[in-house]
Amino acid sequence: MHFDARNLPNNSTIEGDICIIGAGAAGISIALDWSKTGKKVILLEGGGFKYETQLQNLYKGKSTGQKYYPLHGTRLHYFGGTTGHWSGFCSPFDSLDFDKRDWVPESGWPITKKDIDPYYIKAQKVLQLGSYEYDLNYWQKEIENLNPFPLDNSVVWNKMWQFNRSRFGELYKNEIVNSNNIHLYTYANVVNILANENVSTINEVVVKNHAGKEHTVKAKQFILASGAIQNTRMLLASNSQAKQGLGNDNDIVGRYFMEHLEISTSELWLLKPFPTDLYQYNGKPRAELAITKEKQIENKILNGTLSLSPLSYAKHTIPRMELLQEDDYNKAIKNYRANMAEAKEKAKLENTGSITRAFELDIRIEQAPNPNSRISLDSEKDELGVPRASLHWDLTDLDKRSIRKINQLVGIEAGKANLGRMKLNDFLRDENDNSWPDGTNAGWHHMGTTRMSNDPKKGVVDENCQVHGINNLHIAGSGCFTTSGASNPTLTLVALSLRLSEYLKGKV
Amino acid sequence: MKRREFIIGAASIAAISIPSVYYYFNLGDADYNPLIAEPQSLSLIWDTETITSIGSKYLQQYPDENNKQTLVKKIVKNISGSDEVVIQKLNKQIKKDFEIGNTVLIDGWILSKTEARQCALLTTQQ
Repeated sequence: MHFDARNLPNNSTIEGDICIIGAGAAGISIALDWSKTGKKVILLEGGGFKYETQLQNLYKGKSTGQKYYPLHGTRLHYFGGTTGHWSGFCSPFDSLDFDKRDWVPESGWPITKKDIDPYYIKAQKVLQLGSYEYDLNYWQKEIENLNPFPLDNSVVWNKMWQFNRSRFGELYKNEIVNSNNIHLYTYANVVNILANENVSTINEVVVKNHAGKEHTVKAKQFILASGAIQNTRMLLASNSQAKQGLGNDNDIVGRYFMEHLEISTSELWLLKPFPTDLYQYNGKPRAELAITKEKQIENKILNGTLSLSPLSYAKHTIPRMELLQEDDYNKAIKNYRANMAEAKEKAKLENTGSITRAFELDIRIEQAPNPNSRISLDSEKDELGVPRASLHWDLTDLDKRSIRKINQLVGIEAGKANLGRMKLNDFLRDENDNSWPDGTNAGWHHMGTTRMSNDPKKGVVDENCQVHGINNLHIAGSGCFTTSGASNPTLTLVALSLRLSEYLKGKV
Repeated sequence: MKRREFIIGAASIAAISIPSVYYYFNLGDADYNPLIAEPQSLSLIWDTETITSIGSKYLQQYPDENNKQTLVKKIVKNISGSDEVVIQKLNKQIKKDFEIGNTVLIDGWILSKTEARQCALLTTQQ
């Protein structure tokens, strides 16, 4: 069922068994999992069914520290959420990502990969991917010409990816709207979360919209599923009963903001043509070059991968961190696409000589957990009266050293195999240089601000994604990630959300 | 296979053409084989100008080696054998350099020290 909260009588009270706040990848995945359960599911979406500037502007915020994108450009504020523009890159986290690693501060999830594996299988279906197969051997039998580089597999391995730009807003609108037990409310922006007297149970949330309507939603269980920044904002802004915000007795909410660093790091020039489709982005499963667990341990580095783009194309592209600075999101995307088209045209002119065998290597790497990298509240408020988010993005020496070392390892292996030679970009050449280049892109992946730990002093949620100290408040999404892994977050955040969903079925 | 033919065969894709005068350069060493100043693999991706530019940068980084005799000695000790044998030896040595970490960073390139010295040797002969 669908209700437009602008059309409800003012001060309506909505009641259900569970209330999911946010209809993006996490929220919709959970809602679908509760379809036909007989339980009344309230699904709150702040926007409507399409992009609207006024609503998008509610996500505006400030940022300091390492240069970042305008916050409101990185998330979409309508049904389907950021799946409305994501690129569909999916790969599960590695088992190492969940481990405590002595050289990575505050690493170690309270769950293991085995705990989440069954939900990865379910998440594959929700995301309409193929089977849960991420082994090169499997895909070599399915797809021709997936020839791996002859690199020493004790150092470098091929991490497989699947792709599907599944737009949840289009895929699941009918199923949600036609469901008997899922009650979708659009234009229902949560502006306050109210608890009982000792702040151990949430009683209700308050929603508002630009039509001037205000409503109350009551439920047995509440799930925040609005993305790592907005979830944080809601917890911090709901400070009428808990001065520091909900779940924030230990000043952890908003800290440990993590991104995936996605930076052009080097060039790989092959000595001779190497026939393979394994590393190219064509919508089919492909691989990125990853460093083995043993070598990560030996070198005390973070987990990251290198992907290949033809150099004749990549050298004409402008870093996304520069291109996507426009305040107008649509204009920013237009600039981005125009640059891609221009680079393709220029690349066509360079179709001879050794550059046809040269590739730009782009890293995608986890960011080390860092309490100084954080979301807090700004003094300015949005049109609905909620303080805006303020990001201070802070990177560490470990981030930089890991990027350099991963490139060095691959460079040496390429030489050893006489596959080619690698050229490091300027910012990686001096071992003592800890600066970051202008092209330090981030993946638009917001993680860690409500991190998972069974110790309330180290995390916001426990292993079941329940906010410490509040028995019926849960968080779904990549904000719960303790560490950010080398993989894009969507597959893992959907899996984790489905795990939370199953856990809650035992409570309602 | 004659030396010149090998270069052409191995570098068929690359745009390089190392000047022929180079092959007959005399270092004054009876055992000197000019092949050691030919970075075979690098010639597949670089032209002569780039090779000598890298060579110059290597010599700036290691000024003590800015001498043909020194470079020759450091590149390979026993250079006897046919051209193919010499090339095989050099390739083996370059692979070993990467295996044991005997590498150098020149202008961002991760190179075997042997091949970097080959670039330097060519530079000294230009």
